[in-house]
Amino acid sequence: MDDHQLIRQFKESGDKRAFEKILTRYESRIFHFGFRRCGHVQDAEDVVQETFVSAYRYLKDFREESSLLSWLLRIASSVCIKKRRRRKDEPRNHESFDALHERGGEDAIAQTGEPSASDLMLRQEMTRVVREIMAELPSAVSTMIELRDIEGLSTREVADTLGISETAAKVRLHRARAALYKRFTEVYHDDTTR
Amino acid sequence: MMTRRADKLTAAQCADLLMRVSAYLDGDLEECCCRELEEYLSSHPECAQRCETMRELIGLCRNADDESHAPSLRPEFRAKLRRILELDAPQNG
Repeated sequence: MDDHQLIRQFKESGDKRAFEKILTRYESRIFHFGFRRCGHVQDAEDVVQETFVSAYRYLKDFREESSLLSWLLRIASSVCIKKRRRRKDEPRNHESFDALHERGGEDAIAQTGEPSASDLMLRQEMTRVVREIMAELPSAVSTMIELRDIEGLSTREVADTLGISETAAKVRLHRARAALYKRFTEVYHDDTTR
Repeated sequence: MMTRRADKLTAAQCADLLMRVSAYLDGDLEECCCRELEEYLSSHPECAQRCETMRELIGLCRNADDESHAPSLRPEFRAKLRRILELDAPQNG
């Protein structure tokens, strides 16, 4: 059954099995979203719980003007923002540029050929750094990249999730990526920005 | 807009360029602006490198959803959530 059918089934008869199917379908995705946003398993579990408790309470009023996933992510985003405000900043450790350079960091960034094992490790390291930077950026900024580039939502879906126009979503996304780029190159002291 | 040949960009110009590059990579830039940007990048290698770095960075973000190294939902938590919502026990897998 697709999401619409499950929603209709839940709305028409309060069928808990329909909601259980929705939960099973999306709980992991919301968990991973929460984990990326909050950085802690406990917080991510809280995000899942609060998201689906809210969803259970308000699904009967959901008008399907956006996709179910967009709606769930909107709830989860709101929960994550509250969590991040409460959670104190923790020190984050970035590998030094020199250490990365010794592993061919600069070349790896521009490399498009078949990756070697060390290249794959380097990309994993850089992906880890991107995640850490995302956790440091303001929520409004990182949420755009999270939804569009990491979750893979279309711009339309991102706009629906955030309750903004598609044009506004595009502008915010491009600003967010510029901010991420700036921070990323600060971390690695990329000389091309000087 | 980007007619001045400059070896160094101000912070504001850099931010503007990066936004345009992001829009360009997503296909959100109008055709006339795409041509202008491409011409600009072809004569400004440092900025062309910024474009490539942005492209790689977006690629890294898109790979960041690889959950193979991320923790998984604990079965105990899944069961607890269903108890809270008064649902049936979770199916395995």
